[in-house]
Amino acid sequence: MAAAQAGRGSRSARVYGPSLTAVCLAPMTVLLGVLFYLPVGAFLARSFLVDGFSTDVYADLASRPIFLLIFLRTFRTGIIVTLVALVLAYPLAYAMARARPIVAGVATAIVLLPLWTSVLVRSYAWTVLLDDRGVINDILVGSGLLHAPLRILYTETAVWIGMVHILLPLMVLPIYSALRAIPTDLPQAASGLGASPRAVLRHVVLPLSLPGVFAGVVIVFISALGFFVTPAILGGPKTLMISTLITQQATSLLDWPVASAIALVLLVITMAIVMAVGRSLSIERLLSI
Amino acid sequence: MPDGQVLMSDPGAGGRPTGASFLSAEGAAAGARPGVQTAGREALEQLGHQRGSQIRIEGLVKHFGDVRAVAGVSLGLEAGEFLALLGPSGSGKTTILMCLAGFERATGGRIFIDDEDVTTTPPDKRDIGMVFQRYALFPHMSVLDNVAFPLRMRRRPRAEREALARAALELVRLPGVAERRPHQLSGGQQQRVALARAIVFRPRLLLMDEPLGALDKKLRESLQLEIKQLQRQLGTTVLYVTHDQHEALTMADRIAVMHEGAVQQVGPPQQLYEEPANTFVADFLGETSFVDGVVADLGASAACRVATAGGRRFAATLAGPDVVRAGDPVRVAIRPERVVLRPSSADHDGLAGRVIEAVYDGASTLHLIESAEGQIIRARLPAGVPPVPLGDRVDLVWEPSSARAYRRER
Repeated sequence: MAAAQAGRGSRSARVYGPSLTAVCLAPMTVLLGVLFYLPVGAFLARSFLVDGFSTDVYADLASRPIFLLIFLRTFRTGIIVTLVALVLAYPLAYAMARARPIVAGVATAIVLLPLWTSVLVRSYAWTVLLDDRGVINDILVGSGLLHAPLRILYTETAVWIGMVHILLPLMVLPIYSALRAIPTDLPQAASGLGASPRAVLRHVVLPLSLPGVFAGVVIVFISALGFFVTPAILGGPKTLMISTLITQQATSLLDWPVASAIALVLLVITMAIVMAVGRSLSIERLLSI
Repeated sequence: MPDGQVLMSDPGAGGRPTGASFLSAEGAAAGARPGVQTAGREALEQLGHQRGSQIRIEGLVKHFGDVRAVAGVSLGLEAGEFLALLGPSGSGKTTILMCLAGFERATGGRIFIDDEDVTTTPPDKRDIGMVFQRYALFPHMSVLDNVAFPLRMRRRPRAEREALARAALELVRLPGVAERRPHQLSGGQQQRVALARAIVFRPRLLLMDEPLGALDKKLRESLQLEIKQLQRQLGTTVLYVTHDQHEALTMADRIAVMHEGAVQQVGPPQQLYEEPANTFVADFLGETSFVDGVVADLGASAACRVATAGGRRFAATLAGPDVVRAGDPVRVAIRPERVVLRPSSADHDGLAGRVIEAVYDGASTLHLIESAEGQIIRARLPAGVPPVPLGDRVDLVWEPSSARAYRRER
């Protein structure tokens, strides 16, 4: 009975009492409420407020194929960037998890280093590399491999390359920590019971690292959907993404209702994905000890 | 102390308590569960008789950097034998196990299974079952899938591996949990699942690394007997690592006592307990008091008399591998249950002292006696014999064969 009552309410409410908990939560709640939720809500509401309440903006959005094209391009980019990052990150995280502590520490620092550099700087750095007269094309043409420079900058490929690079740490870290959390005697037990190294990876390590994989996929995919700087710099005007489109509508065309409507659609889709994956994540939690 | 009363413990009655309790406890367990054994018979037949393999370890050496964990160990296991590697932590016993399993590569020496050299064989090709201290069950698989895992790795048909896994679960007395996840089971149940998983594929050798270390005492003792029974029924060769001497004495056909990376003594439990080869084994296995002295004179065969620094003399038996001459310093090991306490008398020639502590533990009362030279000697009197009051002076008496004298450095 007492346990059931204690089970209700948050953990902090049980430890600190309701009033202290309320006092602790108040500053952040007020800050977020006044400075974040209120303006965002007001901004999103504008999509319904054109000469009184209407959904005309959404009908307008649906009728213009360019918006659909940009949405599809954004999601395609998100999916490709997430998959490429996953394929690159898993082996790296696996090697880091198996390395000696010193090596693992150095590798973690190298993986984290880009996170501490401005996205703007890193994106511009890629323009230096990918430009028609950039480092990569200089090498390719100079060595005689190509006659004419490869057009990479201001294409979707450039956006993919830049975003994979920038988002890679967010994929590596959750997978690495999931792999590190696997007790060493599990792979050992598996190989002792007759599992080849490949079978150990497939039947034990991979399934047990799935929570980390899911976490990385969600973080990278959602970040990719809302990415602004890198697509703007590396993609150029021809490869517009949603976030660039929103900015354009709001600041260049001053069409706030459309900008707000696009933002709301993006928000709804993103939240739907988070909730869908969140459900599978809780199943994953059941699997671990 | 009442005059004339003889305080004593019969040297024979208290002797080999572990051996005696092992036999009676096993008899009780077998008698208490007649139905279980017959129920397991079918499962046993399904799994087949697993004649274990013969194991030979020759001059095994393992270094970790500058640390020498195993310093040239040679050991043999007969087919179907249960050998316990017993030793304090850091004595190298787990390293030997890891080398056998193939998780560690030996620095030197060779390992043979049925005359096949497996020293460099990868772990998945060795056909060795292993039970870990922390169970090491796969949390993302059901109990049945865990037990069937080694069969799946051997590409057996699904129906066969399911039937064998269920039989193995029945054998460890865990029918009806097959569909559950490991974390839904208690520690003892999880370890039974791990055991089922380790025997289901009829391994050539079963390695157990302190498998009961994480369980509470009662459960540990009942599982000891179950594992021993199962091993005997299946005929599996078992190498069992433990630091718990009671566990080793209870379960093993033979015990190898490890210390500082080397085997100190190998033999049946009774031999190790009765005739320890050196003072380490005497100290590590069971209770022992040590008395330092010098050999006063040598008698026939191994008999001798030892003189203490205080001038007292007592009869002892020479033990250990070293040649001992008169005048050599020795350390004498005496089991507390072999010590007889007598009221102090003037004509007693042997050791004497004063009772400084008496601790009752249910089955017996342990007395600590401080000799005139300041050495502490333990004497265990069986329950029923009234304890000697603290401060009383007593004479210490024992059979010469119960006092084993080992040569020591001067």
